[in-house]
Amino acid sequence: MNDVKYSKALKRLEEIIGKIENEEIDVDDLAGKVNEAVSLIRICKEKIEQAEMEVKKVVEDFEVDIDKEKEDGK
Amino acid sequence: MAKEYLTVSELNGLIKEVVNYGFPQALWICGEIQGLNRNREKKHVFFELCEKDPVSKDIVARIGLVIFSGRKEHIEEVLKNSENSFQLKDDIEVKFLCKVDFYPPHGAVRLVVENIDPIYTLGKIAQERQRLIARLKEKGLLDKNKQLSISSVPLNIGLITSYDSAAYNDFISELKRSGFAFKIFFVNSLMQGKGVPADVCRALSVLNQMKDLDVIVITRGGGSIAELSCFDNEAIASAIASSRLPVLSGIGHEINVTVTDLTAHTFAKTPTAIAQFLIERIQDFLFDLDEKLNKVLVLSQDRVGVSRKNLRFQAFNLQSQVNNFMKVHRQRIIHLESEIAHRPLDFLRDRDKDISAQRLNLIRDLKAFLRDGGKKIENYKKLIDFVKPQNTLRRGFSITRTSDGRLVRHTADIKIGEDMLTDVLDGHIHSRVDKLKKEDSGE
Repeated sequence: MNDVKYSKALKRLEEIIGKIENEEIDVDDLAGKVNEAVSLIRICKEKIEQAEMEVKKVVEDFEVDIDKEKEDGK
Repeated sequence: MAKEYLTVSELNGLIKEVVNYGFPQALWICGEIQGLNRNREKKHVFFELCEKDPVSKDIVARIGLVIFSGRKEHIEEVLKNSENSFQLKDDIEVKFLCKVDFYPPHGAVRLVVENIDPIYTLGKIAQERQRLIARLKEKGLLDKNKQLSISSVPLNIGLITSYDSAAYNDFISELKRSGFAFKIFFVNSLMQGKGVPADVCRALSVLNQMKDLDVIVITRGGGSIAELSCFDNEAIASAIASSRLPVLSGIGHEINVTVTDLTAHTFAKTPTAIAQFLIERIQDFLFDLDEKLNKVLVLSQDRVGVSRKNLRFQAFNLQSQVNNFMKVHRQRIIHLESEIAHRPLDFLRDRDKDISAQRLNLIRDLKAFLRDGGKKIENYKKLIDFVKPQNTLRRGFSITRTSDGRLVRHTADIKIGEDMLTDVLDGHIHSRVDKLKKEDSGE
């Protein structure tokens, strides 16, 4: 389930919440849907954290590159 | 008495006396020199002067001359001291001071050269030259080659000169000294004498047919005006004018500018100067190239600086955009998280409420139903009472059955002679059927 796209997961999550909000859901299905929503939230959170970490690393590496280049240029 | 005949020597002696008597003084004679070159080195120089028809160039008159050894030195001295020194040679126009003489041993009239007027020759050459220049100008040939552009790197050079001459060596060694990779396509040519125009024209035509040449150079060492006059030539000028390649000329020196020089794209005084012209052109090109390269370097460094700054800004921008993006998404997830934490419970509570509401409704409905039911039952009772048989009997109706208890509704239900029993309000009546009459009542 971890290879779900963030945007897809988010869409599904909003769909579930929307259904609950609009009372379009069967009580029998509620627990199952909530379960699904919670694991979707977990996935989205992980994805955000991972992306943030990667971006941070890329930007740091990039800054190091620029500084190195500048020194070499001198 | 006179003798009846003369001997040849007597006759020639007489002729000599007559000639000397007839031409007591030396005279200035003008004409074109012929046959001098091959006798130049002899003790006494014998040659001819001739006069040509101005149009057909055929010789119309000629006469023999001699410069005696005693006069030779004087004549040479006069020529050397003239403004533009030249040498006596065939084909040039001269003006000699001559004594007209008759030489009895040969029986020929002969002019004995005493002096020369060099200004005449120089003037003739100058006049001839001026006429030629005017003609070329009129035909537009003087500037034609100048309209061609010379390559900025003229490395491939067609060279017209005479092989191994001083001019050839000066030109080649100057080019070599430059260190540039010049390539010489050499065509040997006469550079003095009558054969020059034809030879130079041939060389020009050969070089013009070659590919990959940048320029053609015609060069020779300096000389006297009379020597260089073969370069004041219409054929050469026309060949240069029609050349597809720029022609550079280095002929003559200081004050001698030939028509070939004037017709050429560019001229210089010496072979070395022409070589330098080519070298400088390449040096200028290289210098210009260096300058441009420098400019490119400076400009690109500026550009890199600006780009680096811009990049830094963009990197910073990227980071803050990413932070923002993350923030928005994190908030969104937090929001959804809280939704999922509360929504389902709310949902269930709502359902619970729904159920309670339904229960109340049900009770209310039931009560209403029951209340309504009581009324209905009352009504039903009235209805039932209304249709009860007793009441019917009371209103005067009665019920008749056969003896075995079947209801008699139609005449067909019973036969004549059969017993029947009729219920009335307070008891029964037994009777027997006497008559049956069916009526068409539609029943």
